[in-house]
Amino acid sequence: MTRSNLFYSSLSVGLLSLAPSLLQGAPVLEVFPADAHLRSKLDRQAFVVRVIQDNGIHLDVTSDAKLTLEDPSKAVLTKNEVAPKAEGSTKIKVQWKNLSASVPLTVEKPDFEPTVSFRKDVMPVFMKAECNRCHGAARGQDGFKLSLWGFDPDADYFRITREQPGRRVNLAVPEESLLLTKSDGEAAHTGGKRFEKGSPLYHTMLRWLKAGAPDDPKDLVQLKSVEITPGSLVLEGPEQKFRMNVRANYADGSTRDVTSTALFLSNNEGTAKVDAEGVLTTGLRGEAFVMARYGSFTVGVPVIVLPKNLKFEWPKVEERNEIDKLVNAKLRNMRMSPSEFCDDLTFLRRAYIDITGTLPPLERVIAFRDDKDAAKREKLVDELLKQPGFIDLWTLKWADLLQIRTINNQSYNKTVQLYHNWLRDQMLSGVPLNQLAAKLLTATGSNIENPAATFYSLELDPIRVTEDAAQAMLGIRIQCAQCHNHPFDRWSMSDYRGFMAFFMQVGRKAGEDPREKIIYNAGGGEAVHPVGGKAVPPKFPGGEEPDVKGKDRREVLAQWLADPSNPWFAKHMANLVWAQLMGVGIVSPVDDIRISNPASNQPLLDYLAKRLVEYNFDIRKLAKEITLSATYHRSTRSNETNELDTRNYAKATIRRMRAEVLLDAIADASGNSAKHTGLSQGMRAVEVADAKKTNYFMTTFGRATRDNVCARDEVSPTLSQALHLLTGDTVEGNMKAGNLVAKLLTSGKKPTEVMQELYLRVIGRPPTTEEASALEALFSDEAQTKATLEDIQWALLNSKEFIFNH
Amino acid sequence: MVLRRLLLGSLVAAAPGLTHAAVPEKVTFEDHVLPILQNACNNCHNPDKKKAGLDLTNYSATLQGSDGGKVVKPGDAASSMLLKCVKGTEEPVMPPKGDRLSANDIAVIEKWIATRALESMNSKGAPVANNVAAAAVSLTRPSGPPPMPGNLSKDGILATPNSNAVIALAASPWAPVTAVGGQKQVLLYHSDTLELLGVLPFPEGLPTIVRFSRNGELVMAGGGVGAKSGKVALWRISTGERIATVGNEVDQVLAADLSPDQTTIALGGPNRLVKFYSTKDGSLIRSNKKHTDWVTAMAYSPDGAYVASADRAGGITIWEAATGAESISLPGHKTAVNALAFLPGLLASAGQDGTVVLWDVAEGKEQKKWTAHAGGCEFVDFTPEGKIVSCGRDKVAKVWDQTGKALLTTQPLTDIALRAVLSGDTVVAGDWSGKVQAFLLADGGKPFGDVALKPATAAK
Repeated sequence: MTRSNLFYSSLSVGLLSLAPSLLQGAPVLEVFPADAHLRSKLDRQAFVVRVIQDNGIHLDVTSDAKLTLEDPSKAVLTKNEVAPKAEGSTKIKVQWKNLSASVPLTVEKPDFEPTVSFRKDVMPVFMKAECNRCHGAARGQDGFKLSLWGFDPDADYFRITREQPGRRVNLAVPEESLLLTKSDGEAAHTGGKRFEKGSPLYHTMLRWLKAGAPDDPKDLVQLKSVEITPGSLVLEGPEQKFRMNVRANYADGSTRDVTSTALFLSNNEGTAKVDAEGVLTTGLRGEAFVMARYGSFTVGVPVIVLPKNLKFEWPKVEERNEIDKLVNAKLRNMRMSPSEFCDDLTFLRRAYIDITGTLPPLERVIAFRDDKDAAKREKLVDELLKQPGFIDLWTLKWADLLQIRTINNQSYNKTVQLYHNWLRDQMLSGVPLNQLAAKLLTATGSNIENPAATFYSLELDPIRVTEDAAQAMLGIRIQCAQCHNHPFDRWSMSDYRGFMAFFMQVGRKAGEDPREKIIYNAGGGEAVHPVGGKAVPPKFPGGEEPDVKGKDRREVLAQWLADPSNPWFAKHMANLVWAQLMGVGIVSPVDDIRISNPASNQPLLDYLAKRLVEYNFDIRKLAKEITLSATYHRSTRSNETNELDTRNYAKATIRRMRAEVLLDAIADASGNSAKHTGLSQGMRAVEVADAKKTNYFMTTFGRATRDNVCARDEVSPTLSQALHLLTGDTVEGNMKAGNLVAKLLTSGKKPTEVMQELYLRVIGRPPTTEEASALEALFSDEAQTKATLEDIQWALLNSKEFIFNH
Repeated sequence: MVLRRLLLGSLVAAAPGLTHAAVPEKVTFEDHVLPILQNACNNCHNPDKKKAGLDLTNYSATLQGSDGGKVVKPGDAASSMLLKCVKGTEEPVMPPKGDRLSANDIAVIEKWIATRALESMNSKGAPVANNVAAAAVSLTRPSGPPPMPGNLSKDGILATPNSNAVIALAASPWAPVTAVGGQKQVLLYHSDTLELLGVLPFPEGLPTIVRFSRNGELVMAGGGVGAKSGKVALWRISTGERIATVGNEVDQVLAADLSPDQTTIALGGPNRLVKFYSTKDGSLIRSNKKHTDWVTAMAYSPDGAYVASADRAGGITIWEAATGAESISLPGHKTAVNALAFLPGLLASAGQDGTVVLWDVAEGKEQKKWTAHAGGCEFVDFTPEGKIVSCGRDKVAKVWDQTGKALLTTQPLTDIALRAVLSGDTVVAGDWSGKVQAFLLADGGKPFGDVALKPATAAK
């Protein structure tokens, strides 16, 4: 029986992994966590039983499934929770309808009763009851301060037991400790009742107080990681329930079911809300990310919620490459079908703006329209990737990341110009992005001779250098962790100082030229932890502590960053490229990679990062792969299944051209090659090196000031933008300077031809029949022909179709 | 089977009684309504904070109402603001944060108002009047034998398996008697023999401070229940009779002292106020708002002319005892002041900054300052003859002369040394672990014994 069961389960596992498509349609039973270890009398482990139905919807069948112990002498099962009985190992068998699974269980030291630990047991109570949210404020709350989200257990222990002796704990009558009476509603508490008297949280605290409120031994086993299961969910809404399980893993290999003491959060309560016990309840259709916070860890689960009994059939769609497969896999789960392909001229304009930051020239529009070559779109991409516009656009994007700008008495026009030129040279010569980043991080010497050294002269404060480098190169915002553990991410204060330590030995001295700065390795300087005042050794974010003895720490960091196995850099860069082409990042905003801001399609992001590495960090190659995917060719028009989609690429994203590109586009579409207001003669807006050099138009349309590192790809539309286009001098000025209508009329073109040309130049398509006939009616008054055409030109330049890339 | 059903039936029947889920037959303010208000409302609606001008800590203030008028209309529950706010049928919904009142609590309040808002079960009459006569103030040792406890009860009030931090400790200025705060009780010990002399019940809660009167005849204890209530009690040590109880605080009293003429008790706590109560009738004489953080220490000058108060932010203020007017502020401590002690013309303060500071009260100037206990000085006291005793986070107690010269350093206690007094030639010191040890001044700091503070042994 056992053997045949085993055989059967191993067979089904084998089938599953080999050929998922074969089993599509057959329901699958899984148990979480997949194993259990009980290592003390007090250890418990609960299980979640999930069935993936034939329609792809997940069911929580924990309450209905039959759980039995293979060897009941080893443990006790109460509902879905197992408690230890005797040393040894056995299996828990799970049966639901005709599906079954089994989970290995080991029991060690079933009689050992561990003493209650402040850090392991009591600190989680402060998190769960959210004591350390209010009392975690910089000055505490009503005279009592805890560390925010518990980043400093030593200080918390001191404050609770000894800061105000006799006030907060009463070890003679533990039940009367203010710590408890404030929490359980017995005494007046501005924060209200946090938990019930007699609840598990109450008991943990009471047990610790009864033991004499002891501190932990120095060698207390450390929390290593936290896992939440199941790892992803597809549910129906509203009102479907699903329980989560959270398990803590400790350095000694022990585990603990912390579901009841983890703090649960949802980033979209309307779609999936989660209660204190980790049971989520679905709501409206959509996606949510449900997180559990325990210790300094936050872990999360993406949840898709679909309407009940949704009728959906996945259409047969063309998949041109792996990108399409990954995008479509997500869309299938979301029950959305992709939009149809866009037409050739829309594609032409989209590719021009995305890849080169320019509008397609008139001749190119006509040629592309008339080109009968089936591979013309691919050929176009190849052609565009070679254009200088591509270099300018990516120089502009990196200049934003590096915050290239003049600063009074610190950063001068000359050094800024040199830095910008250097950056453009790198782009032009196709230096792999990881090498570019390494060059910047290790830049040494005079920033006039080696302009990359300006990387270290724009910001002098190591705090800013640290935070900017993390955000620009890794896409991580670690600012929070300067003063407390990041509340919604993995970064602790130690991680922050560990990263900062790489930048603590950057020396800066004045050169001969007053504008010059010489960057060198000072060889000394440490990042000091504000708690405890100890120097924190350099540590890679989420990685190890490298050996930096006798080395320039920046070299060590650059090596790590440039390594193909770096967990952050390739993902961040791939996301930047994707966001530029698709209008919205897989992680969005692009410079905020964070556990609580999950990727809309993690497998896709992982794939793109892998490809970028395989392409040796060449943006062009990745951009080409993306633009050749069927996904890139989608129309912006939605179908009835994908109307609500904003982040899954079921349809193309409509996005406004960024300020610099739009300004250049207005000039180009007006036939004006003269200077932009406020900028140098002949200089295109995308080429301006210094962010401080701007004009009214660019500022209004959100030119990045580069005062901080925040990527500003999206700027919400404002009234002043609309008014400036309508009445400002940019559109009028460019039209006047270009004098296009007059020139075309003088060359002998008929008004209808001029109108056609204006359409093609400005919005990249000919007028529709309706548009053409309506406009042609206006040409009857010959005296007004020029004015009428200029009105048409003006109207086109003010149209959404022009301002937006679609 | 039948038996089981019977058991189940009786359990169900018992349930309502266990959960107090019923509204009493006769609802009164004192018995039923006040406990609800104390839990849910008095954090803001107390005589000190008085949010919206509303004080819900006693019957008359509750009926008096808020800035907006009466909140209770006896006999007319439906139009009483108090009920509407807790029910949430009218803004502001109360309590503004935390849990709303339970349906049962609301029903109790509703019935109380509907049944004409009775004060108590049977108009119990005024509480027993305090009866303290004014005492003569003398700076010297009173004539006659030193006042010792008479034949007092030695029965412990509460036995506990563990002991708590020693936060209330005092020595009689003239007799070999040491008072230690326990759980809901004050224990009197002979300072030389460490024999238990008597137990004074303090059912009001945890004593946070004990003091002897200037003449050594009375012992005072202040304290209460955290975030709930605060009181100060006064006993005659010869008889153990409680002769006064003052204060109607909404949180523990943290600091208090009895005026040398025994007519006034000055007290303070987390509400930051310095309040003066008459020992004769328990009435509040005045309430001074000056401190910017919890009031942590209070001391009368030996002549009774001044009272000094200190707070957790480092502020020290000297008040004229007779008028309550502010006399002078003593800036110097940057962090919490933990204790104050007075000699004629001289004030000692113990700071979290680790220092003991001696202040010239007439000049309002720092006279002498030294680091007494690294990490924080928790306590300081004067003996009548002018010796200084202190203790702190370095776990030791020390005796000093007024130049800051250490005369004795005790061996380390088991944890932070929280209180230390000098009774004759005996240093008695208590620590965070709850251990109280005694040292002879002449013995170089070796303990000669410890007080059996654990009331388990104090109990019969």
